[in-house]
Amino acid sequence: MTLDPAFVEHPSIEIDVVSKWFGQKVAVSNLSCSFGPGVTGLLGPNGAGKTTLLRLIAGLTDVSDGRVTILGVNPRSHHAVYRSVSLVPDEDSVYEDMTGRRFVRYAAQLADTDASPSAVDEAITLVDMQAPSDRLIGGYSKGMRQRIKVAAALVTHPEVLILDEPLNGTDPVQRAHLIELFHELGDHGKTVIVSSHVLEEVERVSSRVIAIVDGRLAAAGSVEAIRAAMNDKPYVVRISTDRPRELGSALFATPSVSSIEAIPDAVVIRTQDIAGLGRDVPAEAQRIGARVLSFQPQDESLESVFRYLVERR
Amino acid sequence: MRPVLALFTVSVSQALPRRRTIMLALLELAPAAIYLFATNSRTSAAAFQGVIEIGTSTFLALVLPVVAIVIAAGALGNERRDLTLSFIALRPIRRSVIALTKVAAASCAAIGLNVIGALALGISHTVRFGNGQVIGGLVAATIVASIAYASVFVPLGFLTDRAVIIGMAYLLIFENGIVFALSGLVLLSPWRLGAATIAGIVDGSRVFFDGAIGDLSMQRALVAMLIYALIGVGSTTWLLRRRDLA
Repeated sequence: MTLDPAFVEHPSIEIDVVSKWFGQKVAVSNLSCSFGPGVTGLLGPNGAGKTTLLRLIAGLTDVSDGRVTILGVNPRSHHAVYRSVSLVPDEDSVYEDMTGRRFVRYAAQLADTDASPSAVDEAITLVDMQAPSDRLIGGYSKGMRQRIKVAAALVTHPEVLILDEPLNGTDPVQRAHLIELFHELGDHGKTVIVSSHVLEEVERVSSRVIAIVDGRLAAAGSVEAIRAAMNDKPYVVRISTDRPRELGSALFATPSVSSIEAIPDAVVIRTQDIAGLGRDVPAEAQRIGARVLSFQPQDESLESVFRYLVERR
Repeated sequence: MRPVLALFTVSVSQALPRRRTIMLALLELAPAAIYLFATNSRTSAAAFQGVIEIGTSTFLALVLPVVAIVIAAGALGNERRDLTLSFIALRPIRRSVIALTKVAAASCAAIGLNVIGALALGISHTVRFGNGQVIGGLVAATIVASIAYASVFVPLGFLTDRAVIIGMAYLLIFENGIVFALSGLVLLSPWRLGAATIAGIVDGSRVFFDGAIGDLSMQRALVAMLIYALIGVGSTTWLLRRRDLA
């Protein structure tokens, strides 16, 4: 029997039919999945419910329905679990009037772990923040804030590290450094969850992905599987031309076209082979002597891809 | 113990940012200045009445509550507003311990500032008229009233951004208005717990308080302060457990 790709064999975190609503707004709906050692990407467009899900996992927010366990316990009633869990929130949850070094030391002290200068230095070095660590956080850039938050999370040596959009605001060098760091943590058996709304970012960070949209599970599994599922999605393309009827007829005979509709000045095509259509359109236009004025995918956004995946699931 | 100590230390230092601390400390000196001006040419007995009356009307009933409310309302309110509450909440510290530490830190910060006003007033009187009992009474009153205010306004500050405004309305309308008319409500006025403490410590001072504290004894005031503290810590714990945290 094969395991549903939304679940892992040895979970550190289990989400069991969890829902969360705020008044009339449903943020997470009947979501079930699990996370285990290694890096997992949590993918979804903005407003998909990623942050809410991470906050539910961390125990900052209570579930409206369902059950969340982390390392086998409900974090809202077993605070000792926070010795082994760290969250890096997306928002600027930092003390502006502290230095970066003091902030990291404070995190270690609150977790009752080693807060010695060497332990603090080690965490700061991991995120390459040695130089600005004695400056006030209030003067930090977004990328520096992200990294000092990661340092404050790592100083406690957590088994579970939850990162909400940790690469936001970082430059390419910092980004590569952080991604390498997350890989190392995953390779050492830590459970690392990294959320992002950018597929390419998640692809670089993790091999396993949980994709959510509108608070529901859209897809789960390897990045390759998610990409394959996304490639099945039918695309709608609007092609502006001086001869819509003729071009429509010519393209209808090609294998890349599923359906076709001619409108004044344009032809609207539905296809599951966007690359094939990209080859067929210029070839057929040249053959019949039509001028192609524009080639516009109508629903190319990540949201539309995710919505398709949710509907299909 | 170390996490609690760290939380306490940082909470106290955050309650007393430099600029605000200087402004509030200057405010604390106002009652002593008024006292010195008002009793410039008085006799010892009249000055004693003056220190009690000015100590009540300007220090206990105005400066002390304002300072305590501002500090206490920010103890958790600022953490919530600045989104740093999750930084504290996601630690292996029980919610009740966080609540107790926050109330204790707010109380200590409020006492630390208010004791400036108490000492300034008490020392002004003692230096001129030699009655040291007043200093002890004012300091004890500061401790009792500051703890009571902090216990109320730490949870209220967590609950709403308008805690300071609510506190000012409570102070000016309820405590300094309605309770004067309905003396049965004296236990609901934290500064009156302080006034009762002065009346219990400083010989001969009760006669100058009667309109404000009725027959409230120091013992009942201390019990009431403990109840305030228990309710404050309990309600803060409940809020930290039940509410979604930023």
